Amino acid sequence: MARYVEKALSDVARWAENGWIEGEGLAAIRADLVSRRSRFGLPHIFGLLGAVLLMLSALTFVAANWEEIPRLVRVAMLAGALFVSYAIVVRLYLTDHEPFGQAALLVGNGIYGASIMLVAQMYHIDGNPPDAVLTWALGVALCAAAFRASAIWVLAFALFCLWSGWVTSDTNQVQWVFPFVVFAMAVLAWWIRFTGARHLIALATTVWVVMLPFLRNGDFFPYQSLTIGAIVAGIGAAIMLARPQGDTVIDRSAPLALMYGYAVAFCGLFNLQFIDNDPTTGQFALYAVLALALSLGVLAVGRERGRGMALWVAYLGFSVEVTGIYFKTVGTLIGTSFFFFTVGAVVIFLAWLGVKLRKAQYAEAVQ
Amino acid sequence: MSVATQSRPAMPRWWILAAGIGILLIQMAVPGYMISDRAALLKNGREITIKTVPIDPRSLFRGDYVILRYDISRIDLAGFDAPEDIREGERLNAVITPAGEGEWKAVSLSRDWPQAVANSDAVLTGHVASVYGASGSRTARMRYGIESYFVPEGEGKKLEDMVRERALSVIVAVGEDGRAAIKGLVMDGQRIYDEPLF
Repeated sequence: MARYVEKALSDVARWAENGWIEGEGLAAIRADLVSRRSRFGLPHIFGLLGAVLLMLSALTFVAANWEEIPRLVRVAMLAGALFVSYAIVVRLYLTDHEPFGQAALLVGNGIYGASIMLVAQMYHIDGNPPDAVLTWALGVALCAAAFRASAIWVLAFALFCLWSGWVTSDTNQVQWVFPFVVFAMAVLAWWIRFTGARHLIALATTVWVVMLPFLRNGDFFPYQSLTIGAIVAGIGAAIMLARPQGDTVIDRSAPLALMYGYAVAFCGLFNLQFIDNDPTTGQFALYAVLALALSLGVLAVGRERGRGMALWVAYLGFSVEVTGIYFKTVGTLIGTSFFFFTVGAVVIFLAWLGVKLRKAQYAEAVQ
Repeated sequence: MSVATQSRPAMPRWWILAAGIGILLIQMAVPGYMISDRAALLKNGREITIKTVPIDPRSLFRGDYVILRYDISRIDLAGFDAPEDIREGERLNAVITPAGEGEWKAVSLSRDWPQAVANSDAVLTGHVASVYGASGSRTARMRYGIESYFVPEGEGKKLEDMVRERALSVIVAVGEDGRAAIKGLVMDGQRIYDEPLF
Protein backbone atom coordinates (compact mmCIF):
# COMPACT_ATOMS: atom_id res chain seq x y z
CA MET A 1 0.00 0.00 0.00
CA ALA A 2 2.72 2.46 0.98
CA ARG A 3 4.57 1.93 -2.27
CA TYR A 4 1.38 2.25 -4.29
CA VAL A 5 0.47 5.57 -2.66
CA GLU A 6 3.91 7.08 -3.28
CA LYS A 7 3.87 5.91 -6.89
CA ALA A 8 0.36 7.22 -7.45
CA LEU A 9 1.29 10.60 -5.95
CA SER A 10 4.21 10.98 -8.38
CA ASP A 11 2.00 9.92 -11.31
CA VAL A 12 -0.66 12.42 -10.27
CA ALA A 13 2.00 15.15 -10.10
CA ARG A 14 3.09 14.28 -13.64
CA TRP A 15 -0.50 14.24 -14.97
CA ALA A 16 -1.20 17.58 -13.29
CA GLU A 17 1.92 19.07 -14.90
CA ASN A 18 0.70 17.94 -18.32
CA GLY A 19 -2.63 19.55 -17.58
CA TRP A 20 -4.64 16.30 -17.83
CA ILE A 21 -6.20 16.76 -14.41
CA GLU A 22 -6.69 19.98 -12.48
CA GLY A 23 -8.79 21.95 -10.02
CA GLU A 24 -11.13 20.16 -7.63
CA GLY A 25 -10.54 16.74 -9.13
CA LEU A 26 -6.80 17.04 -8.61
CA ALA A 27 -7.22 18.22 -5.03
CA ALA A 28 -9.65 15.40 -4.27
CA ILE A 29 -7.33 12.74 -5.73
CA ARG A 30 -4.39 14.10 -3.75
CA ALA A 31 -6.40 14.26 -0.53
CA ASP A 32 -7.59 10.69 -1.01
CA LEU A 33 -4.06 9.42 -1.62
CA VAL A 34 -2.60 11.32 1.32
CA SER A 35 -5.31 9.95 3.63
CA ARG A 36 -4.27 6.44 2.59
CA ARG A 37 -0.64 7.15 3.37
CA SER A 38 0.75 4.96 6.14
CA ARG A 39 1.10 6.64 9.48
CA PHE A 40 4.17 4.49 10.08
CA GLY A 41 7.30 6.08 8.68
CA LEU A 42 10.88 4.86 8.99
CA PRO A 43 11.44 6.54 12.41
CA HIS A 44 8.36 4.74 13.73
CA ILE A 45 9.63 1.43 12.45
CA PHE A 46 12.94 2.11 14.21
CA GLY A 47 10.95 2.93 17.34
CA LEU A 48 9.16 -0.43 17.11
CA LEU A 49 12.43 -2.30 16.59
CA GLY A 50 13.95 -0.56 19.61
CA ALA A 51 10.88 -1.52 21.60
CA VAL A 52 11.28 -5.15 20.55
CA LEU A 53 14.86 -5.06 21.86
CA LEU A 54 13.74 -3.56 25.18
CA MET A 55 11.10 -6.25 25.39
CA LEU A 56 13.70 -8.97 24.86
CA SER A 57 15.86 -7.40 27.55
CA ALA A 58 12.93 -7.60 29.98
CA LEU A 59 12.29 -11.21 29.01
CA THR A 60 15.89 -12.36 29.38
CA PHE A 61 16.19 -10.66 32.74
CA VAL A 62 16.50 -13.48 35.17
CA ALA A 63 14.84 -13.43 38.56
CA ALA A 64 17.38 -15.70 40.22
CA ASN A 65 20.11 -13.12 39.73
CA TRP A 66 18.46 -10.74 42.13
CA GLU A 67 18.22 -13.27 44.94
CA GLU A 68 19.45 -10.63 47.42
CA ILE A 69 16.41 -8.41 46.89
CA PRO A 70 13.38 -9.36 49.01
CA ARG A 71 10.53 -10.81 47.03
CA LEU A 72 8.08 -8.06 47.77
CA VAL A 73 10.53 -5.45 46.47
CA ARG A 74 11.05 -7.47 43.30
CA VAL A 75 7.31 -7.66 42.72
CA ALA A 76 7.04 -3.92 43.37
CA MET A 77 9.80 -3.32 40.78
CA LEU A 78 7.86 -5.28 38.17
CA ALA A 79 4.66 -3.43 38.95
CA GLY A 80 6.56 -0.13 38.83
CA ALA A 81 8.05 -0.93 35.41
CA LEU A 82 4.60 -1.83 34.12
CA PHE A 83 3.13 1.38 35.54
CA VAL A 84 5.85 3.55 33.97
CA SER A 85 5.42 1.97 30.54
CA TYR A 86 1.66 2.49 30.54
CA ALA A 87 2.09 6.07 31.78
CA ILE A 88 4.37 6.68 28.78
CA VAL A 89 1.84 4.96 26.49
CA VAL A 90 -1.02 7.18 27.65
CA ARG A 91 1.12 10.31 27.35
CA LEU A 92 2.21 9.45 23.79
CA TYR A 93 -1.36 8.65 22.71
CA LEU A 94 -2.73 11.85 24.24
CA THR A 95 -0.09 13.96 22.49
CA ASP A 96 -0.97 12.30 19.18
CA HIS A 97 2.19 10.19 18.82
CA GLU A 98 0.34 6.96 18.23
CA PRO A 99 3.11 5.05 16.37
CA PHE A 100 5.55 5.70 19.22
CA GLY A 101 2.69 4.92 21.62
CA GLN A 102 2.47 1.49 20.02
CA ALA A 103 6.21 1.01 20.55
CA ALA A 104 5.74 1.85 24.24
CA LEU A 105 2.82 -0.58 24.38
CA LEU A 106 5.12 -3.27 23.02
CA VAL A 107 7.54 -2.64 25.89
CA GLY A 108 4.66 -2.73 28.42
CA ASN A 109 3.40 -6.03 27.08
CA GLY A 110 6.94 -7.42 27.15
CA ILE A 111 7.19 -6.47 30.82
CA TYR A 112 3.81 -8.12 31.41
CA GLY A 113 5.13 -11.37 29.90
CA ALA A 114 8.38 -11.04 31.81
CA SER A 115 6.55 -10.61 35.10
CA ILE A 116 4.61 -13.83 34.51
CA MET A 117 7.89 -15.66 33.90
CA LEU A 118 9.75 -13.95 36.76
CA VAL A 119 6.99 -14.74 39.25
CA ALA A 120 7.06 -18.35 38.02
CA GLN A 121 10.83 -18.39 38.67
CA MET A 122 10.60 -16.80 42.10
CA TYR A 123 8.00 -19.31 43.26
CA HIS A 124 9.45 -22.29 41.34
CA ILE A 125 6.17 -22.60 39.52
CA ASP A 126 6.76 -25.29 36.98
CA GLY A 127 3.35 -26.03 35.62
CA ASN A 128 2.67 -26.29 31.94
CA PRO A 129 4.83 -23.66 30.15
CA PRO A 130 2.33 -23.23 27.26
CA ASP A 131 -0.26 -22.12 29.85
CA ALA A 132 2.03 -19.22 30.77
CA VAL A 133 2.31 -18.26 27.08
CA LEU A 134 -1.48 -18.44 26.74
CA THR A 135 -1.94 -16.19 29.79
CA TRP A 136 0.49 -13.73 28.25
CA ALA A 137 -1.23 -13.88 24.86
CA LEU A 138 -4.67 -13.21 26.35
CA GLY A 139 -3.41 -10.12 28.20
CA VAL A 140 -1.75 -8.82 25.04
CA ALA A 141 -4.85 -9.43 22.90
CA LEU A 142 -6.93 -7.47 25.40
CA CYS A 143 -4.44 -4.62 25.17
CA ALA A 144 -4.53 -4.70 21.36
CA ALA A 145 -8.32 -4.35 21.51
CA ALA A 146 -8.29 -1.52 24.05
CA PHE A 147 -5.71 0.55 22.17
CA ARG A 148 -6.66 -0.66 18.68
CA ALA A 149 -2.95 -1.18 18.19
CA SER A 150 -1.83 -3.23 15.18
CA ALA A 151 1.70 -3.87 16.49
CA ILE A 152 0.21 -5.33 19.68
CA TRP A 153 -2.17 -7.43 17.61
CA VAL A 154 0.87 -8.93 15.87
CA LEU A 155 2.51 -9.75 19.22
CA ALA A 156 -0.69 -11.36 20.52
CA PHE A 157 -1.10 -13.38 17.34
CA ALA A 158 2.52 -14.56 17.45
CA LEU A 159 2.04 -15.63 21.08
CA PHE A 160 -1.14 -17.57 20.26
CA CYS A 161 0.75 -19.33 17.46
CA LEU A 162 3.65 -20.10 19.82
CA TRP A 163 1.19 -21.48 22.37
CA SER A 164 -0.57 -23.63 19.80
CA GLY A 165 2.68 -24.93 18.32
CA TRP A 166 3.98 -25.78 21.77
CA VAL A 167 0.82 -27.65 22.80
CA THR A 168 0.73 -29.46 19.46
CA SER A 169 4.34 -30.59 19.69
CA ASP A 170 3.83 -31.68 23.33
CA THR A 171 0.73 -33.72 22.64
CA ASN A 172 1.27 -34.55 18.96
CA GLN A 173 -2.47 -34.10 18.47
CA VAL A 174 -4.58 -31.75 16.41
CA GLN A 175 -5.49 -28.67 18.42
CA TRP A 176 -9.06 -28.03 17.34
CA VAL A 177 -9.39 -24.86 19.36
CA PHE A 178 -6.78 -23.03 17.25
CA PRO A 179 -9.10 -22.16 14.31
CA PHE A 180 -11.48 -20.52 16.79
CA VAL A 181 -8.62 -18.50 18.28
CA VAL A 182 -7.62 -17.42 14.76
CA PHE A 183 -11.22 -16.48 14.00
CA ALA A 184 -11.45 -14.39 17.18
CA MET A 185 -8.19 -12.67 16.26
CA ALA A 186 -9.52 -12.04 12.75
CA VAL A 187 -12.60 -10.35 14.24
CA LEU A 188 -10.31 -8.27 16.45
CA ALA A 189 -8.16 -7.30 13.43
CA TRP A 190 -11.27 -6.27 11.52
CA TRP A 191 -12.45 -4.22 14.49
CA ILE A 192 -9.15 -2.37 14.83
CA ARG A 193 -9.00 -2.05 11.00
CA PHE A 194 -5.64 -3.76 10.68
CA THR A 195 -5.51 -4.98 7.10
CA GLY A 196 -1.97 -6.36 7.32
CA ALA A 197 -3.36 -9.05 9.64
CA ARG A 198 -4.87 -10.93 6.73
CA HIS A 199 -1.55 -12.39 5.63
CA LEU A 200 -0.67 -13.57 9.12
CA ILE A 201 -4.12 -15.09 9.61
CA ALA A 202 -3.99 -16.84 6.25
CA LEU A 203 -0.45 -18.06 6.88
CA ALA A 204 -1.28 -19.48 10.33
CA THR A 205 -4.39 -21.19 8.98
CA THR A 206 -2.42 -22.63 6.07
CA VAL A 207 0.23 -24.08 8.36
CA TRP A 208 -2.47 -25.52 10.63
CA VAL A 209 -4.31 -27.21 7.77
CA VAL A 210 -1.11 -28.48 6.17
CA MET A 211 -0.01 -30.03 9.49
CA LEU A 212 -3.29 -31.96 9.94
CA PRO A 213 -2.31 -35.20 8.18
CA PHE A 214 0.89 -35.46 10.21
CA LEU A 215 -0.67 -35.43 13.65
CA ARG A 216 -1.64 -38.54 15.49
CA ASN A 217 -5.36 -38.14 15.85
CA GLY A 218 -5.82 -36.27 12.58
CA ASP A 219 -8.30 -38.49 10.77
CA PHE A 220 -7.63 -36.05 8.09
CA PHE A 221 -5.82 -36.93 5.00
CA PRO A 222 -4.24 -35.13 2.09
CA TYR A 223 -7.45 -35.50 0.06
CA GLN A 224 -9.23 -33.23 2.49
CA SER A 225 -6.55 -30.54 2.47
CA LEU A 226 -6.44 -30.78 -1.33
CA THR A 227 -10.21 -30.33 -1.53
CA ILE A 228 -10.39 -27.48 0.99
CA GLY A 229 -7.45 -25.67 -0.60
CA ALA A 230 -8.78 -26.10 -4.13
CA ILE A 231 -12.22 -24.78 -3.14
CA VAL A 232 -10.75 -21.74 -1.34
CA ALA A 233 -8.40 -20.97 -4.24
CA GLY A 234 -11.24 -21.47 -6.74
CA ILE A 235 -13.48 -19.02 -4.92
CA GLY A 236 -10.63 -16.51 -4.74
CA ALA A 237 -9.89 -16.86 -8.46
CA ALA A 238 -13.57 -16.58 -9.39
CA ILE A 239 -13.99 -13.34 -7.43
CA MET A 240 -10.77 -11.91 -8.89
CA LEU A 241 -11.80 -12.70 -12.45
CA ALA A 242 -15.46 -11.68 -12.09
CA ARG A 243 -14.87 -8.33 -10.38
CA PRO A 244 -11.63 -6.83 -11.66
CA GLN A 245 -12.54 -3.36 -10.38
CA GLY A 246 -14.06 -4.38 -7.04
CA ASP A 247 -12.72 -2.76 -3.89
CA THR A 248 -14.72 -4.28 -1.03
CA VAL A 249 -13.26 -6.37 1.79
CA ILE A 250 -14.20 -9.49 -0.18
CA ASP A 251 -12.37 -8.28 -3.29
CA ARG A 252 -9.27 -7.46 -1.27
CA SER A 253 -9.32 -10.91 0.37
CA ALA A 254 -9.74 -12.82 -2.88
CA PRO A 255 -6.03 -12.78 -3.86
CA LEU A 256 -5.18 -14.12 -0.40
CA ALA A 257 -7.76 -16.90 -0.77
CA LEU A 258 -6.20 -17.76 -4.12
CA MET A 259 -2.64 -17.77 -2.82
CA TYR A 260 -3.12 -19.59 0.48
CA GLY A 261 -5.80 -21.92 -0.86
CA TYR A 262 -3.33 -22.86 -3.55
CA ALA A 263 -0.62 -23.45 -0.92
CA VAL A 264 -2.91 -25.79 1.04
CA ALA A 265 -4.05 -27.67 -2.07
CA PHE A 266 -0.49 -27.95 -3.31
CA CYS A 267 0.72 -29.34 0.02
CA GLY A 268 -2.09 -31.90 -0.12
CA LEU A 269 -1.05 -32.99 -3.61
CA PHE A 270 2.62 -33.02 -2.64
CA ASN A 271 1.77 -35.20 0.34
CA LEU A 272 -0.20 -37.61 -1.86
CA GLN A 273 2.65 -37.91 -4.33
CA PHE A 274 5.73 -37.99 -2.15
CA ILE A 275 5.07 -38.44 1.55
CA ASP A 276 2.06 -40.19 2.94
CA ASN A 277 1.16 -43.01 0.62
CA ASP A 278 2.60 -44.99 -2.17
CA PRO A 279 0.63 -44.07 -5.28
CA THR A 280 0.51 -46.22 -8.38
CA THR A 281 2.14 -44.76 -11.47
CA GLY A 282 -1.27 -43.77 -12.83
CA GLN A 283 -2.26 -42.01 -9.60
CA PHE A 284 1.11 -40.34 -9.38
CA ALA A 285 0.79 -39.02 -12.92
CA LEU A 286 -2.70 -37.73 -12.17
CA TYR A 287 -1.57 -35.90 -9.02
CA ALA A 288 1.47 -34.50 -10.82
CA VAL A 289 -0.64 -33.16 -13.69
CA LEU A 290 -3.10 -31.70 -11.18
CA ALA A 291 -0.32 -29.99 -9.22
CA LEU A 292 1.21 -28.51 -12.36
CA ALA A 293 -2.17 -27.43 -13.74
CA LEU A 294 -3.05 -25.82 -10.41
CA SER A 295 0.27 -23.96 -10.33
CA LEU A 296 -0.17 -22.74 -13.90
CA GLY A 297 -3.76 -21.72 -13.19
CA VAL A 298 -2.69 -19.61 -10.21
CA LEU A 299 0.13 -18.15 -12.29
CA ALA A 300 -2.37 -17.19 -14.98
CA VAL A 301 -4.84 -15.56 -12.58
CA GLY A 302 -2.08 -13.87 -10.59
CA ARG A 303 -0.52 -12.46 -13.76
CA GLU A 304 -3.86 -11.36 -15.13
CA ARG A 305 -4.70 -9.39 -11.99
CA GLY A 306 -1.18 -8.18 -11.26
CA ARG A 307 -0.75 -10.13 -8.01
CA GLY A 308 2.99 -10.46 -7.52
CA MET A 309 2.88 -12.52 -4.37
CA ALA A 310 0.48 -15.13 -5.75
CA LEU A 311 2.77 -15.32 -8.77
CA TRP A 312 5.82 -16.06 -6.68
CA VAL A 313 4.07 -18.67 -4.58
CA ALA A 314 2.83 -20.38 -7.75
CA TYR A 315 6.33 -20.25 -9.27
CA LEU A 316 7.67 -21.81 -6.08
CA GLY A 317 5.02 -24.54 -6.16
CA PHE A 318 5.71 -25.23 -9.81
CA SER A 319 9.46 -25.53 -9.21
CA VAL A 320 9.00 -27.75 -6.15
CA GLU A 321 6.67 -30.00 -8.11
CA VAL A 322 9.01 -30.31 -11.05
CA THR A 323 11.96 -31.04 -8.75
CA GLY A 324 9.89 -33.60 -6.85
CA ILE A 325 8.91 -35.35 -10.05
CA TYR A 326 12.52 -35.36 -11.15
CA PHE A 327 13.66 -37.12 -7.96
CA LYS A 328 10.76 -39.53 -8.06
CA THR A 329 11.32 -40.55 -11.65
CA VAL A 330 15.10 -40.40 -11.68
CA GLY A 331 16.40 -43.75 -12.87
CA THR A 332 13.61 -44.19 -15.36
CA LEU A 333 15.50 -41.80 -17.57
CA ILE A 334 13.35 -41.98 -20.66
CA GLY A 335 10.25 -41.40 -18.56
CA THR A 336 11.79 -38.34 -16.92
CA SER A 337 12.96 -36.91 -20.21
CA PHE A 338 9.59 -37.50 -21.83
CA PHE A 339 7.89 -35.90 -18.89
CA PHE A 340 10.00 -32.74 -19.04
CA PHE A 341 9.48 -32.59 -22.78
CA THR A 342 5.71 -32.72 -22.34
CA VAL A 343 5.63 -30.14 -19.55
CA GLY A 344 7.96 -27.87 -21.50
CA ALA A 345 5.82 -28.12 -24.63
CA VAL A 346 2.61 -27.43 -22.68
CA VAL A 347 4.09 -24.43 -20.92
CA ILE A 348 5.39 -22.95 -24.16
CA PHE A 349 1.96 -23.47 -25.74
CA LEU A 350 0.38 -21.63 -22.81
CA ALA A 351 2.90 -18.81 -23.21
CA TRP A 352 1.96 -18.45 -26.87
CA LEU A 353 -1.74 -18.52 -26.01
CA GLY A 354 -1.18 -15.88 -23.34
CA VAL A 355 0.55 -13.55 -25.75
CA LYS A 356 -2.33 -13.88 -28.24
CA LEU A 357 -4.92 -13.16 -25.55
CA ARG A 358 -3.07 -10.13 -24.26
CA LYS A 359 -2.75 -8.69 -27.74
CA ALA A 360 -6.48 -9.04 -28.26
CA GLN A 361 -7.24 -7.40 -24.92
CA TYR A 362 -4.82 -4.56 -25.54
CA ALA A 363 -6.41 -3.86 -28.90
CA GLU A 364 -9.81 -3.74 -27.20
CA ALA A 365 -8.62 -1.34 -24.49
CA VAL A 366 -7.12 1.12 -26.97
CA GLN A 367 -10.24 1.27 -29.13
CA MET B 1 3.24 -6.87 5.21
CA SER B 2 2.47 -3.30 5.90
CA VAL B 3 1.80 -2.01 9.39
CA ALA B 4 -0.47 0.62 7.91
CA THR B 5 -4.01 0.76 9.13
CA GLN B 6 -6.84 2.31 7.24
CA SER B 7 -8.26 5.55 8.46
CA ARG B 8 -10.31 5.03 11.59
CA PRO B 9 -11.87 7.36 14.13
CA ALA B 10 -9.39 8.73 16.67
CA MET B 11 -9.83 7.45 20.22
CA PRO B 12 -11.31 10.01 22.63
CA ARG B 13 -9.12 11.12 25.55
CA TRP B 14 -11.22 9.39 28.18
CA TRP B 15 -10.93 6.12 26.26
CA ILE B 16 -7.13 6.34 26.15
CA LEU B 17 -7.00 6.99 29.90
CA ALA B 18 -9.49 4.23 30.69
CA ALA B 19 -7.66 1.77 28.41
CA GLY B 20 -4.30 2.61 30.02
CA ILE B 21 -5.57 2.18 33.57
CA GLY B 22 -7.71 -0.88 32.77
CA ILE B 23 -4.99 -2.80 30.93
CA LEU B 24 -2.39 -1.83 33.56
CA LEU B 25 -4.62 -3.19 36.35
CA ILE B 26 -5.39 -6.42 34.48
CA GLN B 27 -1.74 -7.01 33.61
CA MET B 28 -0.76 -6.39 37.23
CA ALA B 29 -3.55 -8.61 38.54
CA VAL B 30 -2.38 -11.70 36.62
CA PRO B 31 1.07 -12.03 38.28
CA GLY B 32 -0.55 -10.83 41.52
CA TYR B 33 -3.01 -13.70 41.36
CA MET B 34 -0.18 -16.15 40.61
CA ILE B 35 1.65 -14.97 43.75
CA SER B 36 -1.34 -15.07 46.11
CA ASP B 37 -2.43 -18.44 44.76
CA ARG B 38 1.03 -19.88 45.29
CA ALA B 39 1.43 -18.33 48.75
CA ALA B 40 -1.89 -19.88 49.81
CA LEU B 41 -0.75 -23.29 48.56
CA LEU B 42 2.57 -23.01 50.42
CA LYS B 43 0.83 -21.87 53.59
CA ASN B 44 -2.09 -24.29 53.66
CA GLY B 45 -0.83 -27.33 51.74
CA ARG B 46 0.12 -30.55 53.48
CA GLU B 47 3.90 -30.95 53.79
CA ILE B 48 5.52 -34.10 52.47
CA THR B 49 9.24 -34.75 51.96
CA ILE B 50 10.37 -36.52 48.79
CA LYS B 51 13.89 -37.68 47.89
CA THR B 52 15.25 -36.27 44.66
CA VAL B 53 18.26 -36.13 42.35
CA PRO B 54 19.08 -32.77 40.76
CA ILE B 55 20.57 -32.29 37.29
CA ASP B 56 21.81 -28.96 36.05
CA PRO B 57 20.58 -27.49 32.79
CA ARG B 58 20.42 -23.83 31.84
CA SER B 59 18.00 -21.90 29.74
CA LEU B 60 18.33 -18.49 28.15
CA PHE B 61 14.99 -17.23 29.36
CA ARG B 62 14.96 -18.90 32.72
CA GLY B 63 18.51 -18.52 34.04
CA ASP B 64 20.05 -21.24 36.17
CA TYR B 65 17.77 -23.87 37.47
CA VAL B 66 18.11 -27.46 38.48
CA ILE B 67 15.80 -30.15 37.21
CA LEU B 68 14.70 -32.37 40.06
CA ARG B 69 14.01 -36.02 39.38
CA TYR B 70 11.77 -38.17 41.56
CA ASP B 71 11.00 -41.86 41.76
CA ILE B 72 7.32 -41.03 41.43
CA SER B 73 7.93 -39.32 38.08
CA ARG B 74 8.74 -42.52 36.18
CA ILE B 75 5.86 -44.97 36.27
CA ASP B 76 6.14 -48.46 34.85
CA LEU B 77 2.65 -49.05 33.46
CA ALA B 78 2.86 -52.86 33.24
CA GLY B 79 0.29 -54.16 35.75
CA PHE B 80 -0.11 -50.66 37.18
CA ASP B 81 -3.46 -49.21 38.19
CA ALA B 82 -3.84 -46.65 35.39
CA PRO B 83 -6.12 -45.94 32.39
CA GLU B 84 -5.36 -48.12 29.36
CA ASP B 85 -5.06 -45.31 26.86
CA ILE B 86 -2.80 -42.75 28.55
CA ARG B 87 -1.97 -39.90 26.18
CA GLU B 88 0.89 -37.46 26.29
CA GLY B 89 -0.07 -34.05 27.65
CA GLU B 90 -3.09 -35.33 29.54
CA ARG B 91 -3.81 -34.40 33.16
CA LEU B 92 -3.87 -37.26 35.64
CA ASN B 93 -4.14 -37.70 39.39
CA ALA B 94 -1.44 -39.85 40.99
CA VAL B 95 -1.88 -41.46 44.38
CA ILE B 96 1.46 -41.79 46.15
CA THR B 97 2.19 -43.73 49.29
CA PRO B 98 5.15 -43.50 51.72
CA ALA B 99 7.78 -46.21 51.21
CA GLY B 100 10.43 -45.58 53.84
CA GLU B 101 12.36 -42.47 54.91
CA GLY B 102 11.61 -39.74 52.35
CA GLU B 103 10.70 -42.35 49.76
CA TRP B 104 7.37 -42.28 48.01
CA LYS B 105 5.89 -44.70 45.56
CA ALA B 106 3.12 -44.11 43.03
CA VAL B 107 0.28 -46.62 43.38
CA SER B 108 -2.30 -45.43 40.87
CA LEU B 109 -3.04 -42.96 38.10
CA SER B 110 -6.56 -41.86 37.27
CA ARG B 111 -8.43 -39.26 35.25
CA ASP B 112 -11.05 -38.70 37.95
CA TRP B 113 -10.22 -37.70 41.51
CA PRO B 114 -9.35 -40.95 43.33
CA GLN B 115 -11.86 -42.29 45.89
CA ALA B 116 -10.95 -43.48 49.38
CA VAL B 117 -7.37 -42.31 49.73
CA ALA B 118 -5.60 -43.48 52.91
CA ASN B 119 -4.57 -40.69 55.32
CA SER B 120 -0.89 -41.47 54.89
CA ASP B 121 -1.16 -41.27 51.10
CA ALA B 122 -1.19 -38.07 49.03
CA VAL B 123 -2.73 -37.18 45.69
CA LEU B 124 -0.64 -35.20 43.16
CA THR B 125 -2.08 -33.82 39.94
CA GLY B 126 0.33 -33.86 37.04
CA HIS B 127 0.73 -33.92 33.27
CA VAL B 128 1.93 -36.88 31.26
CA ALA B 129 5.21 -35.64 29.79
CA SER B 130 5.82 -38.74 27.69
CA VAL B 131 4.77 -42.35 27.25
CA TYR B 132 7.28 -44.74 25.76
CA GLY B 133 8.02 -48.43 25.28
CA ALA B 134 6.15 -51.22 23.47
CA SER B 135 2.63 -52.08 24.57
CA GLY B 136 2.76 -54.33 27.62
CA SER B 137 5.92 -52.68 28.97
CA ARG B 138 5.08 -49.01 28.66
CA THR B 139 6.48 -46.33 30.92
CA ALA B 140 4.92 -42.93 31.63
CA ARG B 141 6.90 -39.89 32.71
CA MET B 142 4.84 -37.53 34.86
CA ARG B 143 5.40 -33.86 35.67
CA TYR B 144 3.86 -32.61 38.89
CA GLY B 145 5.05 -29.01 38.66
CA ILE B 146 7.83 -29.53 41.22
CA GLU B 147 10.57 -30.40 38.75
CA SER B 148 12.30 -27.01 38.42
CA TYR B 149 14.16 -25.20 41.14
CA PHE B 150 15.58 -21.79 40.23
CA VAL B 151 18.90 -20.83 41.75
CA PRO B 152 21.21 -17.80 41.38
CA GLU B 153 23.60 -17.91 38.41
CA GLY B 154 26.40 -20.47 38.89
CA GLU B 155 24.76 -22.08 41.92
CA GLY B 156 23.16 -24.88 39.94
CA LYS B 157 26.43 -26.73 39.40
CA LYS B 158 27.44 -26.13 43.05
CA LEU B 159 24.21 -27.60 44.28
CA GLU B 160 24.64 -30.58 42.01
CA ASP B 161 28.21 -31.17 43.30
CA MET B 162 27.12 -30.77 46.91
CA VAL B 163 24.42 -33.36 46.44
CA ARG B 164 26.66 -35.91 44.74
CA GLU B 165 27.66 -37.51 48.04
CA ARG B 166 24.69 -36.48 50.14
CA ALA B 167 20.97 -37.12 50.14
CA LEU B 168 18.75 -34.29 48.93
CA SER B 169 15.03 -34.11 49.58
CA VAL B 170 12.40 -31.58 48.65
CA ILE B 171 9.68 -30.42 50.99
CA VAL B 172 6.53 -30.22 48.91
CA ALA B 173 3.31 -28.50 49.89
CA VAL B 174 0.37 -30.45 48.49
CA GLY B 175 -2.98 -28.71 48.16
CA GLU B 176 -6.34 -30.41 48.56
CA ASP B 177 -6.82 -30.18 44.80
CA GLY B 178 -3.61 -32.13 44.10
CA ARG B 179 -1.45 -29.18 43.12
CA ALA B 180 2.08 -29.23 44.50
CA ALA B 181 4.65 -26.51 45.25
CA ILE B 182 8.26 -26.68 46.41
CA LYS B 183 8.47 -25.35 49.95
CA GLY B 184 12.07 -26.06 50.87
CA LEU B 185 15.13 -28.26 50.45
CA VAL B 186 16.50 -30.77 52.96
CA MET B 187 20.06 -32.13 52.85
CA ASP B 188 21.12 -34.97 55.14
CA GLY B 189 18.07 -34.28 57.29
CA GLN B 190 18.95 -30.56 57.61
CA ARG B 191 16.54 -27.99 56.20
CA ILE B 192 18.87 -25.89 54.00
CA TYR B 193 16.37 -23.70 52.25
CA ASP B 194 12.96 -22.40 53.17
CA GLU B 195 10.67 -20.84 50.65
CA PRO B 196 9.47 -17.50 52.03
CA LEU B 197 5.84 -16.73 51.26
CA PHE B 198 6.55 -13.24 49.95
